Amino acid sequence: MVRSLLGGKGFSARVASMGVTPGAEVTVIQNYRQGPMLIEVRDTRVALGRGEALKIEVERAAAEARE
Amino acid sequence: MSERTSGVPGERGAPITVALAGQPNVGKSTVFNVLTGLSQHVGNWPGKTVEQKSGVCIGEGKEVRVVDLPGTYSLTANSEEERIARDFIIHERPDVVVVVVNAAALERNLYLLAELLALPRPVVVGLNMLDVAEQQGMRVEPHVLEAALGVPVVPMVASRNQGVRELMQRALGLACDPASFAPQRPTMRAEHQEVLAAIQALLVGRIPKPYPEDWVALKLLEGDREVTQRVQAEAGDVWQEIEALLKQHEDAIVDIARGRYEWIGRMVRAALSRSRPGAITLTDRLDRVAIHPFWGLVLLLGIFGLVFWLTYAAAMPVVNWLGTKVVSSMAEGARQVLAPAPEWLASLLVDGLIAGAGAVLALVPVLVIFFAVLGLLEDVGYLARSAYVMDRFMHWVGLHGRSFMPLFVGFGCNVPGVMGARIVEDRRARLLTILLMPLVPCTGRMAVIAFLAPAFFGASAAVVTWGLVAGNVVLLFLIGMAINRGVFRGARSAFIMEMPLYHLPNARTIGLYVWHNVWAFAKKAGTIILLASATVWLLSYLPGGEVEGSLLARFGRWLEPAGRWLGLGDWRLIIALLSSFVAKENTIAALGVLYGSEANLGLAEQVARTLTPAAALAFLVVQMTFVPCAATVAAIRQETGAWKWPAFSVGLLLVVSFGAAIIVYQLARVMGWGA
Repeated sequence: MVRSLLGGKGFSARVASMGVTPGAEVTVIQNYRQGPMLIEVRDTRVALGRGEALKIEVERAAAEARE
Repeated sequence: MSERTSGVPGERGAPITVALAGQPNVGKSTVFNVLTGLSQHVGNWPGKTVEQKSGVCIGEGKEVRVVDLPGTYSLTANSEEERIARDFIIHERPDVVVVVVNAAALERNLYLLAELLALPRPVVVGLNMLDVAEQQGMRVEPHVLEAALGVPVVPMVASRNQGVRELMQRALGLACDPASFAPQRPTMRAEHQEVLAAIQALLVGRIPKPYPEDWVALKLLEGDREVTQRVQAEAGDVWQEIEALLKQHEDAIVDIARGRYEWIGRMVRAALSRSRPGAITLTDRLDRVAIHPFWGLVLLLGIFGLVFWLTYAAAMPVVNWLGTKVVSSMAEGARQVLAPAPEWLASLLVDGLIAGAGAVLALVPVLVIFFAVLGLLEDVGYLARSAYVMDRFMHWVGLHGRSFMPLFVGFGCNVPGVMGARIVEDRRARLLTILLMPLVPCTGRMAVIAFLAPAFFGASAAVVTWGLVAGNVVLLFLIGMAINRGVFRGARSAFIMEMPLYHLPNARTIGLYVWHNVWAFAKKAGTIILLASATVWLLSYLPGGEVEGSLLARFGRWLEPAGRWLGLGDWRLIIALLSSFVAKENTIAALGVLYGSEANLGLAEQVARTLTPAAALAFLVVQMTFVPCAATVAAIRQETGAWKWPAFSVGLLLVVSFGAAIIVYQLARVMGWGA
């Protein structure tokens, strides 16, 4: 689950409009050591660069992996 | 335009305007294509480098103008697309806004609806991709959704042409009776209602006409840059009070977005049901390979190879047929018709214009096939995956995955590649993508290589060709790193991109994609190349009427000493290279004119006889990396809005191409290929 967005206004507005808002459930679909990661949020798959992913603070829900 | 609010639209002959809105990847362009077909007009939004598409369709016996708004996730002016979409709705006041939503990602899609409902225009929802939603185990009840929202909801599967007509009917019905529109509007969370009311009260009577006050207050709270600037300029003395209020609620944007999603959650609760949660879908299975850091790269390289193999294998026979049959018989016919006319006129028409037009024509089959394959890859959803896989590597030059897509297009033709760089949101990253484009070897250059390499290198031609392509890619990365460090100081932009679900391709969408890209090339290249061909002909004809003593030859001879550095001591090769500025594939035509024809020897063999292997290699290297062609220069000017960038590009590539060719020539001589 998303706890908070740490980026600036522009960043927050962009990811929020794609469904990443506090309280939204996020599933990490792919996350290797390098390169972008792929998450699923509100039935949408969103690719995030590593720098961008770091600005999204999440908390672990039940059996989900932590970012 | 503003008069249209009163009275019933569609009467008095004024056409109804329907604005088509929607987030990316919702099948909006399919809906637009079904509605308007080939009546589409594709241009730019005034003063912007964002594509504007509009078209006409007949609905209920009336002429309806359909304007396709840019695909946007929201209407906060953080990108040019979002600003255009909302400015159109506010200023042009379309009679009705149709928002196409993807039923398979309903909640996120209704976010745009939540924003649209804050604007005073009637809205109809096209609930598209119901088939995809079903595959994903989701069921949406359109009637329940309609009842909850108070907005007409039309179920659709646009890819199978289902529901599009009904959508138009409902839209026209609403356009003719806007008073019947009574939606549920999103409500704010309690903590924001107060501050909104306070700002709104301060704004009364102080904001320019078409902007609704409650909407302006909301956008201020969201920190919308454009609205903030405008109000700051117009609100006068109350701005300080407003600013103080906004300071206390600085992070409101996230809360407002959250509030919208809570509202959406309530709206869809009854309408959306899910079965088989967690089922493994086709997209999951395909993505296990397609976006894997290693296998994804292998797949991308495979697809890349296949695209080129298919392009040349399928197009080359057509190109040859055009060259040997159509163009030469046109030239022959023109010569006969013009027999009584003066010599120079026949020469201008045949050697100048028909040869130039032939060069344009020859590329069309190649581009048709290239764009058909690329359109297919885009339509099924693969292109987004290629961006994902390439993201890691694009970071080396300070770009991210998104820039890979226009660069890929550039392999077909640099012109649509430069224009395609629009999908890169960040201005700096877009500029860098454009500046790197001329290093992407386009089909024009590849045609020259394919023509000359076999004669130059015989059995090793394929190895040399792949080596040249690889060399260009390496140069692209090196120069990208240099520009990024030197000019842009290593700044980075954010990579956030939706990965659409895979779906079956739609022939109509791909067909229109090919049509628009090839037509854009033909129009731009057609005019510029014809003009330039005529100029080159003139220079090769004046003053004496033959090539040997012409102005062009004198210029070439003047450059011969410089050419020797890279083994090109023959002025004809230098002129052939320079003529590639007109269009890359023009090199072949220029060689044809300059070398004339010897009966029993092909043109490529003739050229090969005059060159050592080292010089031949250097010639191919400089050809591959030479300055962008005239059409690309024009495209760079158009997209960057200033002449300094195409000038920079030409200067840079002049240095790079000669530098690379000199190094290659000298190295090859050391290796003993100089004789």
